[in-house]
Amino acid sequence: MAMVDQSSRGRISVIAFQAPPVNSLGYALRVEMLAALQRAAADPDVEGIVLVGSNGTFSAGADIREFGTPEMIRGPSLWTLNSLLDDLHKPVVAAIEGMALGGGLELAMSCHHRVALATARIGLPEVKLGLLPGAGGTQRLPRLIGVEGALNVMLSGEPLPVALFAKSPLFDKVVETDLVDAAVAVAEASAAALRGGKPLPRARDRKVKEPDLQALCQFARNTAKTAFKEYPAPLSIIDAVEYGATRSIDAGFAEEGRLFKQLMDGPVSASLRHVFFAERAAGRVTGLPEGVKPRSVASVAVIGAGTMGTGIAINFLNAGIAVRLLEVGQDALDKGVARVRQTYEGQVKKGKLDAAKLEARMALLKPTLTYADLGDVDLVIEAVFEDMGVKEKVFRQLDAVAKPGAILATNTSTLDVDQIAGFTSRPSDVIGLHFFSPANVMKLLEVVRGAKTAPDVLATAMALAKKIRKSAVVSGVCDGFIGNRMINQYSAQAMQLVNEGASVEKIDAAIEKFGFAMGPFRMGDLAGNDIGFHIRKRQYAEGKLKSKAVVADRICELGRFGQKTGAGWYDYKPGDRTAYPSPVVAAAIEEARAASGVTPRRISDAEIVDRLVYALVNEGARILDEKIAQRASDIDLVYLTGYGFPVWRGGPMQYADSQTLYEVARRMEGFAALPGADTEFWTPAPLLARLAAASGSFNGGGA
Amino acid sequence: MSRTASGHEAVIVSTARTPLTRSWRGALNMTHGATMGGHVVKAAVERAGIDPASVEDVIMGCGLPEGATGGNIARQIALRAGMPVSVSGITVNRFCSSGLQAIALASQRIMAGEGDVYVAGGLESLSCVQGELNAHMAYEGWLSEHKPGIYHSMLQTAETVAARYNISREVQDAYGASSQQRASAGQAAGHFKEEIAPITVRMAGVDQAAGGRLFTREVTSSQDEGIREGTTVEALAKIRPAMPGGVIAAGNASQLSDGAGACVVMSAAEAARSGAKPLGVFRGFAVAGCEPDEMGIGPVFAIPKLLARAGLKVEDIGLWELNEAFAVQVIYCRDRLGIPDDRLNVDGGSIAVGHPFGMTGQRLVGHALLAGKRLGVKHVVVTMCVGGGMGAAGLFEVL
Repeated sequence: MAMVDQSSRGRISVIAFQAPPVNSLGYALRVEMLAALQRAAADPDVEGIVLVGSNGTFSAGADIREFGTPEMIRGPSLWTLNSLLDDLHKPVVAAIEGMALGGGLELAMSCHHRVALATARIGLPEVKLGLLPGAGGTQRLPRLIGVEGALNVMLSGEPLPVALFAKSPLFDKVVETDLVDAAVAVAEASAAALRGGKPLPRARDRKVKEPDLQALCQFARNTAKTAFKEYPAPLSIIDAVEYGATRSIDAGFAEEGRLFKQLMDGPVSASLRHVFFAERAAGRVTGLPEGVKPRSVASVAVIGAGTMGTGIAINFLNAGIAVRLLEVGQDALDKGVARVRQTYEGQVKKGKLDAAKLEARMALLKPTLTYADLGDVDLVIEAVFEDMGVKEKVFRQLDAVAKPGAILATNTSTLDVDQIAGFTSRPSDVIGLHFFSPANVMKLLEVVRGAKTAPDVLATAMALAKKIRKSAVVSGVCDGFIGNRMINQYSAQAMQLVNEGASVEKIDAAIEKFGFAMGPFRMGDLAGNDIGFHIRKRQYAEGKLKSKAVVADRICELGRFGQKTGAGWYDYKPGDRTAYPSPVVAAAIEEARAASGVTPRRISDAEIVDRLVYALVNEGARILDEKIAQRASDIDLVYLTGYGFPVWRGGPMQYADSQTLYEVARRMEGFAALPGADTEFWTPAPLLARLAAASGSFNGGGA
Repeated sequence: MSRTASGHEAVIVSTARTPLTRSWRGALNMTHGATMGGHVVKAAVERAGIDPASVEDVIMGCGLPEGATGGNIARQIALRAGMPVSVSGITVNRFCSSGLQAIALASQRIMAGEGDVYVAGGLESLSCVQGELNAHMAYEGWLSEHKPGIYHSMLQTAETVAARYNISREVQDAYGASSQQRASAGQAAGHFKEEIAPITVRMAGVDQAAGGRLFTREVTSSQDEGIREGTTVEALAKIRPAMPGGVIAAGNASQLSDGAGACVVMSAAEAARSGAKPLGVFRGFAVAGCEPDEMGIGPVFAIPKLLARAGLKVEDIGLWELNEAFAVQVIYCRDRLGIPDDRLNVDGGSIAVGHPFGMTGQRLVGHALLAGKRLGVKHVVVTMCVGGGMGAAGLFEVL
């Protein structure tokens, strides 16, 4: 099918884009659009042109799949089209319905006139990918709606209703219906005016009207520096606007181009684009048969009304799905229901939820004490104590009561999902759904695919994740799955750094400066140090750990489980979440160092960061090699959405790629050579070693 | 008995200032130095009831005389105030005493018989200047090595004073709270009203409720923005120190502010001839240096010089305006010189009202003269510490 449809309305040529779903301005559409414009320009019977979308939208902008590839600027580029429009001697009207975003809006701004449907929205979302509008947007928009408005459009990146700009020169007209008729009328009137000697209006000929340009731009810069910290694009947007406003539009175009290239070549945009694609890729599950149909899930049961169980329940209530909440005792059950209500009441207080919705959601929650009540639900998720014996009891009972076809899910964070599936007569219906605490807030959901998990069960889990707005990542079965298996190495490395001489404060500060939301010790105090202690005790018993985490165990033996006990790696004061350095912990560390005969040394922030991050990376490489994770970007997504890894660094695997794997491997070998180092720990994983040798990357392949 | 001045004595006949606004967030965050300076010079001239053309020179102090307050801003201010091109302009800089220095300079030129009518004052726009300073070759090698204190931040020097003279956080916070309480009471009683010339400007802001949207709007600023009613020591004690482990915090240090102020200074003879009503007479000015790393104690050296030359003692001074750069240095100077607390900064100081560096001296002179009249005192001293290790002090007689 052709990508544009060209038709005549009297002496007006109507060029309609037909590149579903959103008329992205990819190479093929650009070629046809250029040809259509040239035909109309050359046709003596045509006195004006209307550009319009099809399928209810104008254009969502550049084709993001072309980003970073030669296709993006392959002629005719968006620049070619914009400059052609600038030079056209017939009026061109953009007729905007649905969305005009990014390059789509930039194209519209290069037209002489714009007419929009009142329901349409416009926006320049480039900032979200760490970029700026690179096809003239930073120059034309301030000339049409002023600097203040243009900065707000570009810095927020949000699509905004056209009504906000109806009175500005951005739009000649905003209409309720009959968009094309209105656009044709504007084109005819403009053609008549042109015949009458009135020049065609162009955005580029307008002056930027801002008496306090420097002051306003600097205010915006100061604001952006605090609001966007590590992100360079907002500052570049402001710079481009000010540059062109103080000089000429052509100087502004050149500066915009220079800054665009700088951002495009920089690490932050690379990370954000990586994340954009990672989010889309994560939904694709490898090895599922074509056309597999998800099962329908209209009701859910959650077993366990603790913090985790109620958090999970809230996700479904929010999505309008009925939830049975099961506990063994009335008291715990009541507390659980109260906790759900409290969460909603908190939201009402903050104005995020209205009281009617609160009641509607609570009405969907049905507490129960008996397994028999779970016989008709489509999905059961257990969130009970992390102990194989307890899980066995739960799954045997579920197997007895659940209806055929019901999906039985475990929220275990470390236990063997296949073993759990073995407690039932229907292992193909069993899956892991690993939520992260607080489950109603954290975006990540690890979907654990057991050896026997049925394809449609997996497909159901992925579809459901979308419905409850989670970022789902598929993981194979192993101890800790993707996230916790890696974090164990990271925590072990943090402990090792403590043993060698770094204080817990220094380690936390170094990794937080790198961009983590919270360092390992503050994180432990928040989550509860007893959780890891409990897991370690099991792993010691199973012989899975080479050495004991002496200090961490000691801290727990002292009852310092974290914020909940008022003391952990740090001291806490009542009603104050500030972490104060603890002399008790310092003494325990001294003691452990003395007992193991270690002379503490000064460890630089750079070494702390590299050792912590590369501990993640090396384990990530194993996870990838073992096919526990489907792809490197899935691992990145786990860390971005579940573990507070800085988004602008793109995730651990992307970060390693950006450092080059050769350099990562070389640094690891350096750590292996340090006195008292665990050489096995720092031996690059086979995949990492292969990729490093072949100049490959986790996300790009190459070995 | 009403006091008078005679002949070549210099008298201050009017004062006008903008409200002091919070830097970066306050009403003057987009206002150019010439705009705010022009506004107060015009107001001071109008209040004095003199012919603008009679002004010999416009002398403006500025702590950071560059960018939006650069390019000999005093000349721009004269033009922006609507004065004829024949009126000159000079910008002077002695950091935080620049405004006082400007008034002293005008007075001295009158006393030297060089001219009869001057406008003198000061201004600062931290919003538009401090973040954009030209740092090219800002440090000299020999000084960095031998007198590093000359390049210390003011915050560092305040920490040094606290440590060297053993002045606790608690005492400083108590002083800070008292400054707020005095300023708050003073504001409620209208003690600042007479000196303020409200100004209408366009300001920028961020609407956090709308996802951080930028906005601009026109505002008329008529009150100092930093004064917080009901400030308590307990509340100030909770503020985190500016440097980890330090004792200087937002509650016991001056606020960063923007603002401009100007006085008309005339020879007593010309004032009498033109019918202007003098507020006070300039009686002397002294500066003295000290170690740069403890610049806050500068007044301890400048004040004795000033008083000795005038043949006065500390107890002869009815009212002191000792600039509150930091509570720690005010406390040290007060106790070292024996200044009674009830005569010191009676309407609060820079901790509450704000401190646009080069402007503060003007504000303190204007306020001391008006407050001195209200309280019926004869001599007032305006003094401050100065970056680089100096103290400046001016003596005025209230009329």
